[in-house]
Amino acid sequence: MSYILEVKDLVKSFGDNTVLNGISFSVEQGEVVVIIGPSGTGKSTLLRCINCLTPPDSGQVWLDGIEVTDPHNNVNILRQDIGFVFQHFALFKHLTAFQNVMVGLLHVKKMSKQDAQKKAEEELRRVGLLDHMHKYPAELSGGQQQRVGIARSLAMDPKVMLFDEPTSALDPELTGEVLNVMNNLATEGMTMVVVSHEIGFARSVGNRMIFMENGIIVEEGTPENVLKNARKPRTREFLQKITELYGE
Amino acid sequence: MEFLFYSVLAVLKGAGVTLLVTVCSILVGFVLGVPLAVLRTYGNKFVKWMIQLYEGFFRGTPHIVTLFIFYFGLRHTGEIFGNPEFQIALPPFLAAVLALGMTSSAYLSLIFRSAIQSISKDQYDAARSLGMGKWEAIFRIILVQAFRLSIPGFTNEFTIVLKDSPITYVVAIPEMLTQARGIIDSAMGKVFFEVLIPISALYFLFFVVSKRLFGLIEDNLKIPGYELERR
Repeated sequence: MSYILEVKDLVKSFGDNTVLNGISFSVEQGEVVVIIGPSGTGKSTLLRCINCLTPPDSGQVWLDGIEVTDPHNNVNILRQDIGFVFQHFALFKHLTAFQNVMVGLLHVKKMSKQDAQKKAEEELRRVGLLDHMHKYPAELSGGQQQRVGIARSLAMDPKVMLFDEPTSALDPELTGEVLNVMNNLATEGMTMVVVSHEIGFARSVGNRMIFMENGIIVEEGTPENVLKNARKPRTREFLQKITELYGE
Repeated sequence: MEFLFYSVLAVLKGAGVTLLVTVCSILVGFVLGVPLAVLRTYGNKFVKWMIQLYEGFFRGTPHIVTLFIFYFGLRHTGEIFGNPEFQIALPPFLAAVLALGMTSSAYLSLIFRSAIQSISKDQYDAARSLGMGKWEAIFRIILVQAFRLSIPGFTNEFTIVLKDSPITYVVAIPEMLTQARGIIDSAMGKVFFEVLIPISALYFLFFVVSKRLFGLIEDNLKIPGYELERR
């Protein structure tokens, strides 16, 4: 079985603070991997290292047989295959929802305007926002903004999507609409790596759960397994807490 | 009454030159100020240091001294190199526009830089994550937003250049003050109403009109729901 995404022994320090201390894992085509762990353990840094937004100190990231971390490879081309969804949406504030989705198609993929418009409409329909396509980010709710963020990444036809706490900036009422979109994506077979504390989401669509602490992977397995049979007491305690908080 | 007519006519003639000097200078300021701000933010240490030096010179020297350097100083560059034949003789208008424009570029660089820095980092990250290169992300995403935010600062800088333009009087640019000075000598005491009030009124008029004009531009470029209302 070949993997679509392979992370090998990633290490990243900020000054004296080692945030990632040798992280390795692989993701199969169509798999949904949920990464959880206490804050400050490097989950977001791990995602940012995967597409080199934060270049790792050492280690490798392979996407579909090509090394992303190899400085000889053009990271701007490789990043098109890695969708990234930000915690705080990071929509381009001066562009409408429609333009946000189009900008990468027009200027990175160099699509014709016609094709880009068609594709952008398609993606906005997919996240249920066709009615709001001409609104600016500041005119959309948090949940809507995040769905535009997902559409913007999806439009690039990535091989894998990375989600960096996509719902943690949203209040509970808006979380659902974003999780719905992610559920659909998972069902359609999108390969996803999701940093999230949404236990319910992890249970229902996650194929695998990774528990990180202090820059290393502490537990790994099916969500059910990790949640029920965590080996370390510290892990069990944490999982119990977020299960209480985020529920089923 | 006849004198008032001639004086206002002369001042009006100068007004055109004032506007020309101001607009040319702010254009030079803009064209230089944008790359200065970008490189001061994203450039390497050496580039940043060079730009700081540039900004320091133009902000730290009186504008009139800068103008003297451009007009008189450059004519005597030969002295420095021990070759009196070598001189850069700028025509007065060019010297004036370069002096005012480069001074302005130092201030505009600061205005643009603060606007660039106010754009949140994740705008850049998002652009890169889509596969845009560094400079494309800066120009297409960051600068476009920063420009909008810097319109008030730019407007202010424009009015400052407008009011600095009379110093070009010292190199005999026939702008408003130069014209006025010419008339004052023949005014025989009729200075206030015939000369000074008209030029003050014109400067004030230009100020109001340019403020209004940039205000309209700002309103037109407003991003719905994003920026604060202009009051």
